[in-house]
Amino acid sequence: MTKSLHELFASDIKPRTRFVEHFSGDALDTFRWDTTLVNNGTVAMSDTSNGGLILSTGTSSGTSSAQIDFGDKKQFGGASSIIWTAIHSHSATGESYSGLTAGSTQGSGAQGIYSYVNTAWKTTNFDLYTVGAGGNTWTNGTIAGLTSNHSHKLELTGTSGKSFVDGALNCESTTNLPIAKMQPSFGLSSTDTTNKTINITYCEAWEN
Amino acid sequence: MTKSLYEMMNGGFTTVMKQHFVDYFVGKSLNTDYWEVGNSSGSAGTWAMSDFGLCFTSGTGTSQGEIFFNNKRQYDGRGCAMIVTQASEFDMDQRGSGFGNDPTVNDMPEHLIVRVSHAGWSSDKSTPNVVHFQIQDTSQSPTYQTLKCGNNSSTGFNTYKIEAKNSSEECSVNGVLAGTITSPVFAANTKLQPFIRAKHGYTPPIVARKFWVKYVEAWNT
Repeated sequence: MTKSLHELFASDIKPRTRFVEHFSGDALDTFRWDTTLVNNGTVAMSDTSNGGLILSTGTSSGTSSAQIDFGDKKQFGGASSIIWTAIHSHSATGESYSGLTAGSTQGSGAQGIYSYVNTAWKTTNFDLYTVGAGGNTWTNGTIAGLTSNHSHKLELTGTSGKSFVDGALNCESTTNLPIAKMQPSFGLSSTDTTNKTINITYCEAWEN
Repeated sequence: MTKSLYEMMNGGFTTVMKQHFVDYFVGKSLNTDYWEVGNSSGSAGTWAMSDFGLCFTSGTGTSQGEIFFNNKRQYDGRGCAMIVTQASEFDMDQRGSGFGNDPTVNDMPEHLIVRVSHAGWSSDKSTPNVVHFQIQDTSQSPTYQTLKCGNNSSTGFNTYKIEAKNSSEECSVNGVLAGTITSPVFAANTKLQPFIRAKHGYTPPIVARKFWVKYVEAWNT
């Protein structure tokens, strides 16, 4: 008798919301994901080994962006986690927010928990940004390697928001934690003509 | 705190999990965001969801149809594996599953495939109903190798696993190693995509035949 996924995860509690995305195949699963593209930003499946999904800003002048989310179906609460694997091409002159958001547009300041990359404004590590009902908190990360392939995890327990990179604790915030319902979101933007990319090969989100 | 699937598959977070894909072929219809449907040779067939997973109904006469990733090649020829559970209505058709560089080409320059049923694709046509395992990379020497695994290719649902490694390729049938090929291996940095193919070969029946697939998992090792 094979086990159920529920038994593997935790058989002593009621099943909770969870989803897994491998970002493999011909194209992004548009029954699950919504894309928002501005000024020639693109989202496409990669034709390279371990390439996953590519978010690209393109090379147009002005602000360009590419974002994926659940089309504002917010099924994850303030005690949720999200894991993803990704590699960024940029460290500065572009910014990216990855995580769980209550908003519709990246960088809007909506409640959520985000891993942030932009050395021009923040540190050279993976910084943590939490936004609650009454304000926001930036927490400097301690783990570098912005343009290398990593596994990331953001964990909300109700009293803290933790960022892990490759299994190690990167940083933690205990203030301004989100209480609103959220959706997974990955967004990338640029204001110059150098193409910025994020390749994402895995995403899993679940209520703890 | 519940576990993640990531941890269970990858043994923790300390290493970055590589590209992975799973499809159970259940539900109303084939997810055509993931899969492209093609007909690389002969008369066209159709793919549709059935009570037994995804069903391919061949055209009559010579027919070769496949599902694939529309040339999004995310799997490494020297470190990838695939599991497929499939069945066939009739042992004169051929069903093949594996990795290839471009399934729209009848004889792909690069492919790794487990092939089940009649051996019209083999040089030994007098030995039907045997599972075959083949690698081809036209940049290597030899360009290809075909292995008759010795397993009967029954028409019912069976599970096949193939794996491409640095120095060999392996084929398993229902969890038992059925064959190993050591030459050739894919050239370094060969990128591949999964595909599932059903074919009426050199001695095609005059009626349409059915083939089912109900599980595919592919991953970079």
